[in-house]
Formats: sequence, C-alpha cells, structure tokens
Amino acid sequence: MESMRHPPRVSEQELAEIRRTFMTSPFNRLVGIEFGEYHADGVTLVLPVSEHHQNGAGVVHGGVMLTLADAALGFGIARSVGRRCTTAELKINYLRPVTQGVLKARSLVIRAGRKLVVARAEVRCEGKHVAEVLSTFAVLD
Amino acid sequence: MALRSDNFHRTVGIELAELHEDGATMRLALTDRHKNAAGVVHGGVAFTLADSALGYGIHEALGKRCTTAEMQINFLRPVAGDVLEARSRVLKAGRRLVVARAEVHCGDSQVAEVLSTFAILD
Repeated sequence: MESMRHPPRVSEQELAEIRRTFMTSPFNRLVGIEFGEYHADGVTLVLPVSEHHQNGAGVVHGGVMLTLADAALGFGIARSVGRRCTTAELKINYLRPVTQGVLKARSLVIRAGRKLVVARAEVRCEGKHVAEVLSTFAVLD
Repeated sequence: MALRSDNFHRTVGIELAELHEDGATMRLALTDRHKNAAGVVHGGVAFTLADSALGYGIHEALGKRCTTAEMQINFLRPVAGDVLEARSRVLKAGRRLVVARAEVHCGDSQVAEVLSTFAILD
C-alpha cells in the first residue's frame, strides 16, 4: 500500500476519524460523494453521475465537479497535515463537459506550510481529464 | 434557459431572485444539508450559487448560450446566516469569451468573491 511507504503524520485512529467526518458531511452526502482511495500525497473521491447533477443544458453542473474536488482537497490536506484547514481560494478550469459516467477527484498536496497549504486536484471522468483545480487552504490550528 | 429543468439547482435549493441588465441574483435558503463536516456551509455551496448567478446573468445580458471555462473563488469569511445571495456582473463580453464577476453575500457581509471566464457556445 502506497500510504505504508509514506505514512501520514496522523495516527490510524485520527485517520479513521478524518474519513468518518468527511464522509458524513451533509453536503457531500447530498451530492453523493463516496470514498475512493488514499495516496501518499492525497486522496481520491468518487461520484457516480446521475440526473440530479445536471444543469439546464443537460450536462453536469460545474458546482458538482468543484464540490467533489474541494472535498478531495480538504480530505487530503487534513490527512497529510493533521490539522483543521479551510479553503481560502480555489480556481477551477473546466476542460470537457460531462454527461454520464463516474467522476473521480484526486487531490495532491504540493506544499504544506505552517499557515497555508497549496494543493491541486484533477477531476477525471472515465479516464478523461475534465477539470483541473488549484487551491490555497488556511491552517486553522 | 429554464430554471425548472436545472436538476442540480433543485438538489441544492437555488432560486432565481432577480435579473439585472448586467447580471442576475440567485438566492438560497440555508439548511443543515448545506453544511460540511465542520458544521459550516460547504465551499461548494457558495461556489455553485455563484456559478449559477454567472451563467444566468451572462445569458440574460447576452442572450447566448455559454459554459464556464474557468472560475476562481476567494472565500472571505465563514457563512453565518439563513440566506445566501450571489449577484453576478458581466465585466466584458467578447465574441468568444465573457469575463464576469460575482459577489456572494450572507446578510450584510460578503462571504466570497468570484472571477470567471465563460466561453460562448453559439
């Protein structure tokens, strides 16, 4: 397992707690976000696309991809930093429209400082890169 | 653009509040389902509301179909209140690209600032 070679700073118990709080987040549940896997520098979260994610044009609403990416970033950062963080700034580029399939957001921590964390996330759908996200998180404690 | 046909708006609870000459105002009554694991409103909620205000506002101002190409959001403070409003404004409408901004407010305080680039589809 990748995370065994690069163990996170947090304990297994803390990791389980982080995972539980992220996966029981009301808005994440409303959107339908599921856990995917852990990586050395982030996590992958999964979202099977359904009709309730569509916008008026019949494609997946941009807010869905952003919400999935934000959750993957917050989860990945909490796991690697081990402290509470909040999104300060986030930029998303939409690369392709999505109509169906399974969305996957993979977060990667680029630099974790004492006060700020910079991380990116890739959103893919059936292997295709559909959105790219760059973010700054503020460390709360 | 029919607001009723927008499924994700229904899921989140977004309503069109007002159309302006240069944009739109969208409104959202906040409930517990909009919260994240920390018990505050999920960043995706303010972002989705702003994205919708931008999409509808640009459509209203230009009368053309557009799609979000790029969007940057700065979260200024945590959301504390019952109603969230996003007001979009078109800054520059070109032949292929539109640059627009949106402010997200909760009560008297601005909670997020958004800058976006939309691509004109037709």
